Parts: sequence; structure tokens; C-alpha cells
Amino acid sequence: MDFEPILTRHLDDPSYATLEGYLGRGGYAGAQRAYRDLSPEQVVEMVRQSGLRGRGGAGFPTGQKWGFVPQDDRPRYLVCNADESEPGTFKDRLLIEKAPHLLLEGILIAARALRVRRAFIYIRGEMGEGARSLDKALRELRDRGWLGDRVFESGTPLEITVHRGAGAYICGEETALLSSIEGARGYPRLKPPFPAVEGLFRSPTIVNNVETLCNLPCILVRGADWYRTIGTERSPGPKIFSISGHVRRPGNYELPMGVPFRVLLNERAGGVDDGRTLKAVIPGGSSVPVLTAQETADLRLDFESVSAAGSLLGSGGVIVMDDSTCMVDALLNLARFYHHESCGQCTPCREGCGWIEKILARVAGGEGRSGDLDLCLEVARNMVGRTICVLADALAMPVLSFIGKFRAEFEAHIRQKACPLQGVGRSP
Amino acid sequence: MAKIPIRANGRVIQAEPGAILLQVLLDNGIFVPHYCYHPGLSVAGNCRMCLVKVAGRPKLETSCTIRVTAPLEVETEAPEVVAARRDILEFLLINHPLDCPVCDQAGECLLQDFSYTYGRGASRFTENKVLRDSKPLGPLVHYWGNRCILCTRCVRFCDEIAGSGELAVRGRGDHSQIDVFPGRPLDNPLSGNVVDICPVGALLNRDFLYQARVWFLRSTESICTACARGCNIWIDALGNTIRRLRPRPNARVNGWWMCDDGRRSYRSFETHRLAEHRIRGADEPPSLARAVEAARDALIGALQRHGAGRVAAVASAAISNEGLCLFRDLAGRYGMSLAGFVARREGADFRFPGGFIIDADKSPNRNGANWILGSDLLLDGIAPLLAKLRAGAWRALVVLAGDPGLDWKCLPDDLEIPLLIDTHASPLVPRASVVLAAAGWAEAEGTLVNSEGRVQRLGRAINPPGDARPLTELLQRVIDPDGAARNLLSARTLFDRMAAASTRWGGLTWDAIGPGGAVPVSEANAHG
Repeated sequence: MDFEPILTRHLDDPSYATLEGYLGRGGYAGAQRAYRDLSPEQVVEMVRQSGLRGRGGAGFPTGQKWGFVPQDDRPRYLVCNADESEPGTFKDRLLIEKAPHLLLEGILIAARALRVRRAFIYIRGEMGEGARSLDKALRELRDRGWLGDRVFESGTPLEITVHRGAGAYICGEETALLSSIEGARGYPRLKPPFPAVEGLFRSPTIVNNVETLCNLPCILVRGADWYRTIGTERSPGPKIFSISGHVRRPGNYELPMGVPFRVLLNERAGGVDDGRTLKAVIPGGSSVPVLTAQETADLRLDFESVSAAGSLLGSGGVIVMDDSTCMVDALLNLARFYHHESCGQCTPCREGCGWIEKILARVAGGEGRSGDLDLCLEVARNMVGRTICVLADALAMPVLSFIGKFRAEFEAHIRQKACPLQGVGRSP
Repeated sequence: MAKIPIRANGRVIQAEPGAILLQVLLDNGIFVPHYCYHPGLSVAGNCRMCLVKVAGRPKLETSCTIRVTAPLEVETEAPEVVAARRDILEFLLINHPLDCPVCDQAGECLLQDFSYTYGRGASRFTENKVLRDSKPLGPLVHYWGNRCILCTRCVRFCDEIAGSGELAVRGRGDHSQIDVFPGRPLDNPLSGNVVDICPVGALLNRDFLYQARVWFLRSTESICTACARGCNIWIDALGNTIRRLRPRPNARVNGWWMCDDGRRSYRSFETHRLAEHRIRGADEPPSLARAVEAARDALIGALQRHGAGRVAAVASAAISNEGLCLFRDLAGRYGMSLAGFVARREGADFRFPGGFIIDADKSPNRNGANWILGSDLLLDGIAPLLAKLRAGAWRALVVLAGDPGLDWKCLPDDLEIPLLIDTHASPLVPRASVVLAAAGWAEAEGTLVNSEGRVQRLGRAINPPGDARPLTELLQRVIDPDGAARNLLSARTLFDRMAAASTRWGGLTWDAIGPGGAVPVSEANAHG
């Protein structure tokens, strides 16, 4: 499939991370247009017209989200969610490290649209290189006088602060992220109020994902109509897919929304290893339901198509598992992660994640009992939809889908008191 | 603003706009079990126990996080709600040690109560439990992490009410536990309240630890006398021993709280009590009748020796209204001068961020004494009494003490004390010709007027030790032994008579005071 990358086109050019290099590739044209030729309302309208949907996982229309911000006397904040921590997802990191100015330009544009004077980039603690890359890019922008009191010689001031997290997965949840910036424990907050109405420091706050913001410059330069020609009608634009697991060329691939999964898998990632067959795919980051190989046969990668297939596009982190994968082991790996990362605030998640991990560890270790699987399913069901944030659902959905779709394999573990793939099995 | 109708389980109830749905349901007698929600604290919404079904909404929602802004249709006993509660309780119990037999909270534990009512009975959890710390957090509070359900009421209390923020959640997920910061123990003046609001046995009072099974305790409504605020309390006694004091909610006085000084004030009943009357020079403690006779003789003797103008009487402002009334009558009956009433003040009022106040005024009935004896008789401390003694040329002083915080030992050596009525041993005891042992504030009924003019009732939680008698009884006997023997008046009767005789009390009666106290109408008007 022929597709000219838009976001990742110049990433192989090391100078793209510098201001000069970025300008040489036409950078900041979109931001300058937003500040010099357009009113904030026009920018919002343009993004709304483009149909851009959030790339952090939920796929909420960006222009519509921006429209929720009340225009009152309180300060307004823009927060870039760069706390990319979803297992299987590594697209934002690439953009931050290789194209920091693309992200900053996106922030400038969003800040213009939202009349924001203070923006934060909350970057995952482990991304040291990314934080340095952003700091350097911000310095360049300030030295040029494009940031600070007057952005692009306009009357608009803007400050951007890079805030490094301390490595908690939950701080990628937007309200926990806000608590963390405020210096509090990273607990997700009750909603409502939603951040757009009352977020950071009790003021209206828009939280956008890195990749979402990186889509803004091309929309500003080439227009909403052009943008809508990419991808599908309801999921327009390009998408960076992170593909990992049992593929020959794991990595980030930018493709239009709605691309067939098989194109991503076979044409870009080189397919599964020789002599292996595809067993299962987690299409949107570790927290979404798993799909069997069969379910991915005609799968297209856009929000609607993946939902129709019974999973979620999420962050676009595609985890591929071939026939050597022990599904019990794979699910245990996920359960261990969510147990470790549950913030512990809500009862069902705090207690349920650990319970599920312990049951699965027994099953995987050959000490499973009849009834374990049904108990596991019931514990997972009891977690869904009963917590403040969706971390509980993020474990429950894999549990329900893994056991639901690969039950025979789980039962074999219990029956044989060992992994039926023993000697062959490996984790993705 | 107009109230908003809510259809709850088929019944229509009315809510104030913006009210918390859970509180509205509770106020209307529709009980929804909950742990993290507390009416005195911010909403955390973390225990997930108060889930209800709201018509038109896809998921069950926690009723503590719903603000009523439009008419709602709510079900609290729908099958899915019942199931969800049962599931939440199961989650809460999987890592709980179920050590009720050795847990102080047993009997007043919401985990126990709700498990019986809403739980599933048997556990399906067969894994190893998570173990957490057990350690003291401060001088008054011990933490049992294994029992903790992490509702964070205690954390929010320290942040929002005490304002000192000693507590935090440490760790993550099911390894979370409540902890203090290194070198910063939980020792704010309100720390004991975290024990009361802990819905389970995680935070326990070290004073009360293993002292009693709560179902053996007898609770009496009363008032704390540690300062003039008059926090409403429960006195919990085992047999004739007070085991603990707990705040009794009263939005107009103390909210849901009391201070640690007040909480520990019951300990004054444990030491240095006067349990016997005493006649100086006598070997044996006298009977009540003999002591009263001696007291009368001592008063008459002093008046004869020094002359009517040279004998005065003084009372502390810790004495109930009924006692103060009789004190005035006593002075009148014997022709003694009223030296005044001694009140006590320490420092300044202490106002906490959550609005709770510890009064600088340590005399629980300063206002009552003002009303009954007149504010011109106020003596702020012992020093003004000494000045008055010098100016009054009094040779003898009758003392009604009852406030162990007053320092009586600086009274001049040549002052005769014909009669002392007190609750505790003091330097005056050996000096007095006759000492009558009186009941303390938890041992007799009575009324006090708090710093805001609210009349409140003291309850009788325990019997006074030995021969000690309520002050009102002693005074009635000294004033008129024959009358008292025929018809000893109760505190209730004394209050009603007193209140009927003066407009100051606004027509209040003992019954009308009620458990939450009452501000006399005239007084309420005076305060606008």
C-alpha cells in the first residue's frame, strides 16, 4: 500500500529535531498561520471540520472537546499528555524524541485556539531522552522569541513547562495526571467536573495526547478538507501504529486510519516469524479485548471497525501473538502489570487486580483448580464499570476476552497441571 | 430555591438543589451503606459501596458523587444494586484478616454490620492475603493496616478539619496503607477523631485499647466540660467506670468532632477523687447527716466569730446552673456575702481550618454563672479573688470548687475555710473545717450554658465514688436539712423552677432543652 507519511516523514533526518532543521522542512507554518491569519475561533472551527479524533485511546473528537471550555475569568490550561505507558504503545515517544518541534507547534496551535497562556507537557518519567529533547527544543523556541511574552510577535503570551512524571502508569489517566502536576498523589478524580470545566488548579483544562497535537500543524497548513481525504469518514487522518510481539519488523508505522490490519502486519511489519501462524492480536494497547487471528482477517484499523470487531483501536498499540504463545502466560503478564499499576483508590480495582493475578499465577503454575476460570471471569465482571477511572476495565477486558476466546487452553493448564505448550511456549 | 423531587424506590422525596444524593436518601430514612462518605468531609467516592441505580444512566453510580440538579429516579434495592454491593463487600474482605474476635472495633464495625446485612457469607478467596503494617501513628492512635479498607476518611480529616495533614496513603494498589511522614506523628489536638470516623478496626484509640467489648458499654448523652465550647459527647461506661468519650454530632456546636483534651478528660475521674466527707479533727469519715450538721455548725460558727459581713462564699464556673442557683440560695440563707465565681482562661481560642474551635475559656459554665449570679461577680482566675479578699476584709470563705484546674493554694493562710465542697483532693482540703465530697460532671445531671449561650444537659453516666453526692443534693441539705430530707429536688425540677423564675431562660424547660441543647429565645434574639 502506498502512503506518504505525514507525521513521521522526516523522522530519519536527525536535524528535524532542531529548530533550523524543522523550519527547513516547512515547520511552524501552521502555528504562524494560526497566530497571524486566524482567530482562535477559526482555529477551533478548522480542527472541528478536520474531524481529528484524540489519539490517546478514547478517540474523542478534538474540536468538540475544545468547545467544552467555558469562557470565564479563570486561567485556562493546556496539558499535553506525554505519559505514554500503555504496554505495546510507543508512538508518542518516537515523536517526542525525533520531532519535538512538531509537538511544540501543535501545542502552540492548540494554545492559540483555546486562548491558553500556560501549557504543560507531562512526560513519562522513564523518557529521559524525550525530556531532554523537549527542553532543548523549548530553549530554541524561546531564544527565537517565539515563546514567552509574545508568541510570533502577536499579543499572546505562552509558557510551556515540561513536567516529568515518576513512572506511575495511572498518571497517564488525565485526571490523575492533573493531580500529579499539582503535586498531589496521582489518584484519578471524580468526574464530573470534567477537566475542560474544572481541571488543573480548579481551572478549565484541555488534555490532549502527543500524537493528537502533532496532527494539528498539517491541518493548519493544508486545511481540513485535505485532512479528511486521509483515513475514513469518521476516523480521518493518519495514525501511527506501534506493532510489537511476534513480528519480523516491530516498530512504528504511520498509515491512514482504516488501513487493513493485514497491510500493517504483512507489508510493514513483515508478518509473523517463519513457520509460525498468527494466533491472536491485541489491537489497541494492552487494555483492550484480544482478537483471535480469525477475527483479524478482514479487520480494518479505525475506531469504528475495531469496535465492530469487538475490541478497541485505543492507542493503536498492536500486540501480535503467534501460535507459540501461551495465552495463560500472556494474560498473567497483563494481570501482573495492572495489579502493579492499580492506584488502589477504588475497592474493586485495588482488590480485584491482585486477586486475578493470584488466580492466574496458580493456573499458569499448574496449580489451577476447576472453578478458577469462572471465578476469574466473575471477579473481572465485578470490576467493570464500578470504579472512578477505567484501569479496572483495562484488566477486566483482557481477562474476559482471553478466557472467553481461549478457554480450552486455560482449561488444559488446569487439567494437565502444566502449560500444554511447554517447551514451545514463549511470551510475546 | 425550589426543592427538586427525587423518586427513590417509588417514593417521592424532596432535595435541596446541589445536595448530595446519598445524604438526601439517608436524611429521608432510605439507608444506603457507605464507608468513605462522611457528611463532615469532602467526597472521595472510592469505596464504591453506595452504588445506586439511576434511571436513564447506563451504569450504577455512587450516590455520594451525585449532586442533585434535576429530578432523578433512583433505586437502592434493585437486583443489580444488591449484587454490586455484595461484590464490593467481597472485594473489601479478601485481604481483611477477619480477626473480629481480637479487634476492638467488633460490635461497632461497619465491615461487620454490612457483611451481615449485604455480604455473601462465605469467601471465595483462597489466595494469600496482603500483609500491611501495624503500628502507632501517634500518642493516641494505633493503625492496623490489615484491617484498613483505605476509605481515606482519616486522611481527609487531617487535611480538611485538623488542617495538619499528618496522614497520607503510602504505596499503591492493594499494598496501599495509611501512614505518617517520618518524624511527624499524628499528634494534632484533634487526632482522636480519626478513630471515631474509621469505619473499621484499622484506627483504634490507644487509651481504649482492649479496655472493653463495646456491646457491654452503656452510653450516656452528655457534654464535654474541658472548655466552654460544650462539645456534645457520649460517655461510654463499663459498670461504674468511664472507658471512653466520643463526640456526639451536633451541627450547631461541635459538628462531628471533639478535641483530644476533652476526649481524655474522663481520666480526672480516676485519680485524687474525694470519696468521703471530712470533719477536721475527726478520726473517722462522718456520715452524710453528720457531715451536713457539722457544715451547718461551721458556717454558723464562722458567722458568729467574724460577723455577717466578714464571711463570703465563692464558686467555680465549672458548677452547673442548678448548683449555682443553690449556691446563691446558700449565701442568702446564711447571710454570707457573694465573693463571686471563678472562671479560667488559657491562651486564645484555637480555630481549626475545618471550623472546629477549642475555647480559651476553660470554664464550662461561665455563661450560666453570668446569667445566674451576674457578670459583675465574675472573677477571671484566682488573682482577682485574692484582690477582692483583701478589699472585702473577709475573714472566712466558703468554697464550692469543682474545677481541678484552679489553683486554690495561694489563698491567704489566715483565711478561714469553714466549708469546702469539692470533687477532687486539693490544698484546701486540710484547711477546711468541713469538706463535703461532691459528684463530678459525669456523675450527676445538670445543665451548662456554653460559650455561645446554648443551654445543654449533662448526663449521669456513673455513680459518684463512696459517699460523694451530687452538689445540688449537698447544697439542699446544708440550706435546709429537714426540707431536703422530706423532698430532695432533682436537677430537672431545680432547672424548671429556676427557668420559670427568670425571663433570662426564655421559658425553657428541662425537656425542651433536648439532646442537642437549646438557646433561650431571649438569648437567641440578643445574638441577632
